[in-house]
Formats: sequence, structure tokens, C-alpha cells
Amino acid sequence: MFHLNFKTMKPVVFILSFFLTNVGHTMAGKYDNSMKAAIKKLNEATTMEVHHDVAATFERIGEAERNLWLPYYYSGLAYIWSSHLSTDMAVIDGELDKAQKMVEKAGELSSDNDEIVTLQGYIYMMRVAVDPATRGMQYSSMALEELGRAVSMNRENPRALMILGRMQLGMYQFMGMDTSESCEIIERANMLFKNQKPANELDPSWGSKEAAAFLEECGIN
Amino acid sequence: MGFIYPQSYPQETLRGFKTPASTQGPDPYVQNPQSCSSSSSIDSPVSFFSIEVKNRESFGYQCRIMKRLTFIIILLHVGTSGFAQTIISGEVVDEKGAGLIGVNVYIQGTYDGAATDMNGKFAFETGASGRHILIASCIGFITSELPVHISEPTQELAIILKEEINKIDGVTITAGAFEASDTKKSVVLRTIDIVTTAGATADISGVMNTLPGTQTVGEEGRLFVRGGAGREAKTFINGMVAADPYSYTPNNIPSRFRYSPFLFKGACFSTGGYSAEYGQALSSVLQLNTLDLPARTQTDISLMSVGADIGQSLRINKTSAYGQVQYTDLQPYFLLVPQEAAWQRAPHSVNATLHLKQRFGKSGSAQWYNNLDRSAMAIEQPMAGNIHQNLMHHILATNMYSNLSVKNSIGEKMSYSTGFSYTENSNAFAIENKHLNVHARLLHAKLVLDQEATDKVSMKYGAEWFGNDYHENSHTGDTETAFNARLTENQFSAFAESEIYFSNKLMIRAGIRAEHSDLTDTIALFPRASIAWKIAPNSQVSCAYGRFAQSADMEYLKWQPTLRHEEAEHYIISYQYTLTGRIFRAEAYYKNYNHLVTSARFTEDQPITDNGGYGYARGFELFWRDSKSLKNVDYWLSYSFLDTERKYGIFPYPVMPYYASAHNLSLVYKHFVIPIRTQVGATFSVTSGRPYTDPNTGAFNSRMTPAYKDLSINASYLMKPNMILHASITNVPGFDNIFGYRYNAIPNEEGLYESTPIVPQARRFVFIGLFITISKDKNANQLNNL
Repeated sequence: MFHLNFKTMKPVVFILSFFLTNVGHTMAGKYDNSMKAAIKKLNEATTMEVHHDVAATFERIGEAERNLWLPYYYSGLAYIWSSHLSTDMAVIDGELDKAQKMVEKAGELSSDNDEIVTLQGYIYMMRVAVDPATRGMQYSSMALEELGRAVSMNRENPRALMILGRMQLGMYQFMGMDTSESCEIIERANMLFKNQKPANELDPSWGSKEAAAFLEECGIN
Repeated sequence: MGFIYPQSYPQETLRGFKTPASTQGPDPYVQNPQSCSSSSSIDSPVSFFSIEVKNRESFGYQCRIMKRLTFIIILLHVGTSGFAQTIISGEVVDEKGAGLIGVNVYIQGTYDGAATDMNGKFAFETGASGRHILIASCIGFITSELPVHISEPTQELAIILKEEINKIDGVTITAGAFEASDTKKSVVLRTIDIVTTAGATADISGVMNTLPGTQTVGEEGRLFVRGGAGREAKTFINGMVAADPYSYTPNNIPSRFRYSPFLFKGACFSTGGYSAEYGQALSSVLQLNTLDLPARTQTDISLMSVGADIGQSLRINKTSAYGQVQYTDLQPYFLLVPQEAAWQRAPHSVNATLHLKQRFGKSGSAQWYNNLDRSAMAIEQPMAGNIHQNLMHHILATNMYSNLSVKNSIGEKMSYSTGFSYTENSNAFAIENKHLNVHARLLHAKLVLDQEATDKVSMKYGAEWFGNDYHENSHTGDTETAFNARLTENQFSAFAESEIYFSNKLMIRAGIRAEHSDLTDTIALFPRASIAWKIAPNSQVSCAYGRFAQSADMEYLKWQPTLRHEEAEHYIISYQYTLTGRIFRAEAYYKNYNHLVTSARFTEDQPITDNGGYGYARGFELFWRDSKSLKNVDYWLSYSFLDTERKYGIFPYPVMPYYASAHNLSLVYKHFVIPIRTQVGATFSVTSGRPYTDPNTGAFNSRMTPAYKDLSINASYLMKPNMILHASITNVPGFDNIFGYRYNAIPNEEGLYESTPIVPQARRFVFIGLFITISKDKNANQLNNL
């Protein structure tokens, strides 16, 4: 221990305050900046490798921050999108397994979150898409259940509506049934996308491109 | 600071490592479907995980005149601002030295890290310095936490990622076990199969009868496994015994499972060599698990050609309830389709189910399953030993079943499951003016502790109690009770079992079970052991051995309570080959029976019994299922060969029992016809002849019935997303099936014992049902509920 008088303390206090405010500032800024950069990279990704890379980045952010659900959410989303890039059933299942793990981690940090529930429904939908004839019975009810739950939590969530609409569309197409109802759901999602204003820049806002593509499938432009 | 990816590094800092995979030829994931699997690249230096730490020279200024504290603060500050950077690079390999793809390598508590490339290599920049933990994590591998000291000079570190033991999709014991599950990948059945298999008519035992190891006994309907009698196959619901799972039917009329298949999410049908957890079963254990909490509040309505039911499920947060009431009456159907037997009143029954489920804490759940089944019927059946004389039987059968089970975890590594089940079966018979009441109760209580001793060793300990109470009385006309028998038995058992995973390729399960019965006051020990070895990525061999016991049949025990338990020994070897959507299995077994109860002699109407019986059963079985080769088609083929003889009951010497058949073949076919939204199915089964005794030839069980053949078809039409129309027909070609013969006890004038064949109730059975689900989500339908 050594004695400190006011004179010697002053610069220390000054330096400490500089340090603390700046560190605090840079830590928060670091999270925002890192997330923004990774989200940008995810939106631009076209290969599985980049998807994996960005999924790993989100996971690292999640591990470092410990109590934020968004990094895991995006990591899961990156793996789901990555699964779109393969046609091999085993590869798709592998990607979805990883997505599942991330979604579970996100769910542990934020329960009853309609965005996370939507992602879970999305994973189940992709499980059906792999092999509808054998998996349809099992996973379609699980997908519909999760997506229905997400919509009931937040009727204005365009992603939940869009995936629900897509799930129904696929099911009805598979069954050779009238798809107009599911297309209406997608249209509604599309309207919501046009008006969506995320509270935070990092909050999920993806989906308008997909909704437009699904509407094309419905024959609506 | 932003993220700097390996691509942005100057080439020389990567120390001769190739540039990342994205700049190289074809997409590596196409050749290498499993991320985090070993990379196939040959030129990848097969070595340990190595790390190079190098200080980047761009750190351009120093400030010697500053006070020491200020220097450190500034250093830290610029560190987080992205000036002082260190490059960490290296390679992650598995235990065999092959590079792993997609491993997330990073410094704990920071964002700094990278995923490994197709050669297992990584490189990233970090502003961290000093002592840190470097994490390398990947699904399927144990996360590595490596202490590193980030500073000059360069360090070399050796770490290898170890494969995680995968208990769900890794090596599993398949000897004698057929699993129906939707969570595991390589299982024989999906739960949906129970309701979509033709010929099974949504009957759990009916589906299991299409699997190898079972012998079809057309007039019984229940499961007969590997030469064992019907009573040797036991059913457990959530680990608790269901003592009488089959609905009551008169002699020679097949019974059905009384529990609705729609209430179970999975099943494991074991035809031998099962775990030490299961006692009181000589041949087979069928484990059923009830469904999870229903997703939503909904109403299910079924309108069937034989009755109707209504079910309501409720879900409120972590609590759910399901109630169902069913009424069935075969009278209208029997009026329409003439039956062999002379029914005065066709079977009509009420079946009610109440299932409550509650989740608590993080992983706790409690459920209470209750079923009440009451049926009545009146039928004329031939008198024993006289085929020309019929007796009127009035039957009232009541079965009550209650099953309470609770499970939860105790800390990280321990969990318990405990339960209680109660079965009460009460059958009242009036045969002409003779009355017989049989009242049997069974209580089962059980506590099991599961312990994850290490990631490779798990232990299971348990204790259970079976309390049996049997009461039978009969009287004729208005006379006093002529016969009264009452018997109670208490059995205490304890078991311990360990599962040891040596790797993802080799595991063993070994356990021992101790049983004590208060009737004989003896303690007996029953060892069980299984081994599973994955010989190739898609091939697995398993072996199982075990000793099993079961109390003597009440039919004998009521006369002589000191009869000891009967015993069986199982030896099984099994081979399984799995590909996506395809599974092949071959299995051979030998079973040895001892201490079977014989009752060859009678004195004053009472059998003289002892445990002198014995027997054997041996055979082999084949199974092939393929849902991949033909589009929208799923089929399986089962074949069982059985050779068995036993001396027990009234058998005068070792002989093949009436329920055994040498050859059983089933072909199940399911085809989803998309344009008409209909699943069609067909099941063809053949069972070779079964023995019967012809008193005209003298020798016991020396004659054989003709082979039993059946071709059933079914169709499920999805009318609307919440409405299914189902129809099924058994024995479409109209095969003449004979289950056996009844003989007169006294020969006729020509010295011949006259006989009549025992035949099915009707040549065919036609079923039509409409299943409707009403909920807020109108896409739900009953099939989807599984």
C-alpha cells in the first residue's frame, strides 16, 4: 500500500476515467460494429464456407457476450441459409443440426421470443423439405406448431407469417391443393415487410427478398 | 474494432499455409459432407494442433517517457482499439491427425477467432495479450480449452480435438431391439407406422407382428416372441408395467391392444436380451412412451364403422390434459357381415382415457395416464370335449389402469425417474348357470437413478416392487361358493447396470438384477450383458446375453403357491447395416428355458404341478426396410425362422407348442399417392403351419395346420388438412385360414374323434373411419399429431 494525496491522485483519476469511459464505449461499440459487419457479411454470403465463417463469428460474439440472444439467433440463421446451398440430405441435416444448437442457445437466453420460435419453425420446415414423403407427417406438424406459436406471440412479425405461409404453400403444393390461402399469408407478410421499422438496427429485419420470391411462386408480383 | 478475416492477411504471415479454401477449386463441402469431419485432403500435413503467435510489426510507437501506469492503460486502450494485433494461426486435427473443417477457434471472452478451413487450418488477429484460454469447439467433438500466453516469442502447442460420445446416433445395442422413434436417425420404425400399417388396423401389437421375431397366432392377436408363450411378452408404459394390455375376447377370437396408439410417441420392442431394468418377462418387452405435452387445445372426433370417439386436449403453459371417451359396438357390423361364432350380443365397450402431464423446473415432468375399459358380450361357444354342444357365455370384462411417473434431474449428472402403476382386471363369466369371477390386481412401484459418471460411463440403479393380488371364485346356480382361491405375492427387485462407451464405435452394457419373491422366499440373480461394435461407418454388430425370470402362471400358482419362477437364457448376435432411408438387419439367437411349470397329472381336478419343465428356441431373422429406392414408397420385409420345443404345462414330452410356427414372413408396403393425397398400404404375411393334437393319431402336437396367409390393404385419404378418411380390408383374396381343430373327447361309433376346424370369425374384416380434428389451427389433423 502506498499513500496517495490529491495531487498524485488527480492524474490517476483522470486516466482511469478516460480508460473506463472509453473501454465502456468501445465495448458497446465493438458489439454493435461487429454485429453489423457480420450481418452485412451474412446478407452478402453466397457460399457455404462464408456462411460457416459468419456463423462462427456470431457464435464467438455470443460466447463472449454470454447473455445476448441475437448472436446465436444469427448464427442459427446462417446455418439454415447455408443448408439451402446443398442438395445432399446428409449435408442439409448436418447444417440444420448446427442451426438447432444455436437456436436452442438463443432460446435459453430469451424465452418466448417470437423471432427465435420462428427460426425453430424454419428449421423444422427445412427438415420436411429434405424428404416430404417420409418426413412430412412428423415435421410438418412440428413446423406448423412453432410457426403458429410465433404468429400468436406477435401477429405483426413478418418473418413468422412468411415462413408459415411458405410452409403451408409447400404442403398444399405437395398435396395438390389450393394454395391461395397460403399466398395470402405471404402477401400479408410482404406488406408488413414494407412497413417494418426494427427498434434496433441489429434486430432481425431479413425476409423481404424471400417474401418477394415466394410471392413469385404464388404468381403474384 | 472490426473483424479481420484470414483472407486479409499478408501471405507471409500465414507461414506457408495455403490461402483459405474459398480461393481453391471446387466447393469442399460437396466432397466432405460432414463439417467438423476429417478433411480428405492428402497434402494436409498430418500433425497436431499447432499455434503460432506473432506480434505484428505495425505497432508503431512507444512512449518511454510516460509513467508506467499510463503506459499500461494506453497500451490496453489502443489494444482494444485495434492497433496492437497478434496473429494466431494453426490447425485443428482429430485423434487420427486429420484436419477438421468448421471448428470455431477463438479466445475466450473476446470476439477474436476464426473457423477452420477445409484443411483444418485457421488464422485470425487478436488484440488480446497475456494469459488467455483458446477455445476450439465443434459439434460432435469435446470442446478444447487450451491455456495460451499471447506474447512474443512464438509458441508451439499440441492439441487434438477428441470425438464426443454420441449416445443418440452413435453405436447402439441393436441385438433384439426394435425401436420406433422420431428423434433417432437409424431406427426400424417411425411412430407413424403404427397407424399406417395395413393389417395392423392401428393396433400396436399388430404392427409389432410385422417385425422379425414374432410368430403370428391369428386367433389370439397378441404378441408371441421367439417361441415364447403370450404371457412371456410384457408391456411397459413410461417404464411401468401394464399388466393386461389386451382387450378381453372369448377363446379363439383375436384381441387388440386396449391403449390407443395415438397416445404414444415412441416404442421399443425388444425380442430378447433386454436391460436389467426389466423383470418379470421371459421373452419380450414392449416399452411405450406417452406423448409430450400436446401443442394446442384441440378436439378430435372419430366416426368409425364400429363406433365413435371424442377426445379433447388442453394446453395451459406447462400443464396439459387429454381426455378421450370411446364407444364401440360390433353389433351393427355383425348383423351386416355374418360371423362364424354364434353371438347373442356382439362385443360392445366403453373405453375412457385421461392423461395429465405437467412440466416443472428445467427438466422435470410428471404424468398421469389412466384408462378404463369395460366391455360386455354374449356368445355361444362349444363345450370342451363336445363339438356338438354349445354353451352360452355372458362376459363382462373391466380393466382399470393407472400410471403415474415422475422424472427430473438432480444436479448436472444425476437424474431420477420414479413411478407407480396399478392394473385391476375384473372378468365376470356366466356360462349357462355357472358363475366365475376372476379379479386380478397388480401394483408396481419403481425408482431408478441415472448417473453420468463420466462422458463415457453411465450408471443406472433401481429398485422396484410388484404386488400381485389374485382372487377367483365360482359357483353354480344358487349354491354357495364352490371354489374360492386367493393369492398374494410380493416381489422386490433391485438392479444396477452400467453403459460404457469405449468410443463412438464400441460400447458395452452390463447389469445385474436381483429378485426376491415372498412366496418362495428365495433371492435369485440375473446377469445381463450386451456389446455393440461399429465395424464400419454403416455396419454394426451386437451381441447380447441375459438371464430372465417370470413368476409361474396364476393358473398354476393358485393351486400351488410355492412354485418357483420360470427362467430363460438368451444368446443373441445381430448385424445391422444402415444407409440413409435403408436398413438391413440379420439376427440369430438361442434361448434356453428352465424350471417351466408342468402339470401333467391331475388328482381330484387339481393339477399336480412342479418346475420340471424345460425347452429351447433357436432361429434367425432378417429385416429389410427401404424408403429411398422407390419414390414415395416405403416398404419392409421381415422373415423369421424358429425351431423350438418345450416340455411344460400338460405337454407329455418336449414338443413344439401350438403357438409356434417355423416360418413367418411379412411384407409391408406403403405408397403415398400425391395427386390424390392418399396413402395406400398393403401387408402380406405368411405363417407356416402350427402344431395341434389329433386324438385319432395319438401323438401330442404332431399334426400341422395349413399355412396362414393374409393380404390386407388400407388407404388414408386426406380430404381436408384436418380430415382423414381411412378404410382397410383384411384378407382381400379370401384365403381359407385354419387355426386348429376342436375334437370330441369321446370317439364316435366308427372309433373316430370327430372335429371341427377353428377358423376366423369372418373371412374379411372391413373398417371405415373418418377422423376429424378441430382446433384453431385448421391444418392440424390426427395423423399429424404423432
